[in-house]
Parts: sequence; structure tokens; C-alpha cells
Amino acid sequence: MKRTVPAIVAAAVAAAFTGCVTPTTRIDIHNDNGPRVAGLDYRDLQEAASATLQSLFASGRLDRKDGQMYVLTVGRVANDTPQHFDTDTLTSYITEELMNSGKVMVTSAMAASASNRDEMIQGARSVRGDAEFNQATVAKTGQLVAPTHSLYGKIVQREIRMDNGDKQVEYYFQLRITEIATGLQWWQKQYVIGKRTDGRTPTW
Amino acid sequence: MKTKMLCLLSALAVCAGCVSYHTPPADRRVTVSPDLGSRVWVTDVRLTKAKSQHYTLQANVANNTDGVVRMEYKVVWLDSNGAEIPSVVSTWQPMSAAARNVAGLTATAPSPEAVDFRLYVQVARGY
Repeated sequence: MKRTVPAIVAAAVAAAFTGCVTPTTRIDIHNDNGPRVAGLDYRDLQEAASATLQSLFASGRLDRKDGQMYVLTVGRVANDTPQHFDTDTLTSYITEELMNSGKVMVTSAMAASASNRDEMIQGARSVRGDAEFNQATVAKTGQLVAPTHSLYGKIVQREIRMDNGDKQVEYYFQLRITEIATGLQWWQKQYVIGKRTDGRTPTW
Repeated sequence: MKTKMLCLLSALAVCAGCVSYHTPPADRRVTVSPDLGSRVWVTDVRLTKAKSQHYTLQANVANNTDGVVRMEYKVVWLDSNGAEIPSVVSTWQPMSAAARNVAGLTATAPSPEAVDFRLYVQVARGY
């Protein structure tokens, strides 16, 4: 009997806690009515990617008279915020859309981060002279295409304390493309997203 | 009499210069969500190719109210067959129009193959 009472209490407490748990639901990423967050979420990244891409498409920079495509390498896009996220979540939108536009090819042979390089490009070449491989199917020398342009930039976060104790968080998405042959900056776009939240709300 | 007519004509000319729509312009390519009602009207919808091979959509959003209206808009681009071109460019973008004022919106197609569009405008979420 003495053992039964604590067991009942424990079960009641457990049941009470179970009632407080928010059930897991899927986010409808096409029509997300969820509240905004102080940090950066996928909606912010999509919005910034959309704005920067439209700037690039409207600039006419991608239009080549000879019908050839540009070759882009993904340089360093720095995450200059206290939030931990991979900036590939932004650049993947950019590179995907540029390739879909039919005007840009992205090289996997050269990139600032390892995640944008394909190790198999070198790996497949390491079997040159290996009798186990049909040498006619091994990539020849001088086949890799060097990039003509490089995408780089950074995401900056500024936090400003407001007079009423709230916090204003500003995010600056700065993306640039350099023409590698000349070193000249070929295109750039800065897009700003601002949020206001309670002063105690962390963004990381 | 002539003076009165001149005054009337002048007044009409001045009013014509203002942004004033008495009926919402109908464009089958534009959908304004019911939650916005007649608070805003989308007008002067046009497609242009300026410096680029990509079409750019420009439109005006007239705010018929005495307060700021915060909205978001999305442009879905279509190819010559009427098929949607999926793109991150077609995500909801924020915009606002000041009281009794007109705000412009622009959107650029993600591909030269985009020749038509559908524009959706709704009340901003999370603001």
C-alpha cells in the first residue's frame, strides 16, 4: 500500500506533463501562418534569396550575346551572426535558381567550402593508370572548366536596444559576384530584414 | 457661364491627376485575397523587359483606407504552355501602402521562358 501511493502520484504528474506537450506538426512551407521568430528562419532566407535573385535577373548581367553560359564558383559567404546555421541554406537557393535559368553552370571542382566541392572529381582521377579501370572511361587531363565568376558575401546581424527596453534586430544579406578574370565586382545586392522583439528574447 | 465651365474643367483636370479609382480594375492575372476586401486595388499591371531578357512585372497597389495596409504578394511565373515555373522567386514578399496612397510592386521572372504570371496579394502575416 505504501508503494502504491507514490506510484499513483508519479503517474498523475506524468499525465499532467503529457497534457502540456505541444504535439509535433508539419509546417506548411507554402502557406506558413506561424508566428515570426526573432532569429532567422527559412522564410527569411527564402525572402532574401528571392529579392537578391530578382535583382540579378533584372540587371541583365546574365544575358550573354554569344549564348554561352557563365561558370560560377561558390566563394565564402560568412555567417556574421551569433546564430548557428550553414550559409549554404541561402546559397543553395541562389545556385539552384541560376542553374535553372539556363544561363549559369556551377562548378563543383572549386569552392570555398568543402561541402560545395565534390571530392569525387579528384577521386575519379586518381585511378589514372589503374589497370582495374577502363582507361578510356577515366577523365582526361585538361577537362575541368575553370570558373568565370565567384559568388561571395556575408550575413550581418545588428542588435539595437530600443528606448522601451525592446530589441530591434537587423539582418543584412550582402551578396556579390566577382568576375574572376578581371577581379571586378560584377553585381551586388544588399537586402535588409528587420525585426522587433522583447529585449529578453535571444536570437540564437 | 464660361468661367464656371472653365472652373469645373480645371477641377476635373486636377482630380484626374490624383489617384482615384471608383471601381476595382479587373485583371484575370491578379488575385486579391478576400481578407483585403476593397481596402486595396491592384492597378496598372504591366510586363516589361528593360535591361534583361527576363520579364519584370510592375503594378501599383492603391490603398483606399486611412491607415497603412501591410500586405504580402507572390508572383507565380508561367511558361508559354501555361505551366508554372517553380522558383524560390515565387515566395511571399512583404510590402505596404501608406494611407490613401499608391505603392509599387515589382517582380522579375526567374527564367526567360516565363511569359505570363499570376499575382496574389494578401494581408501580411506575422507583422
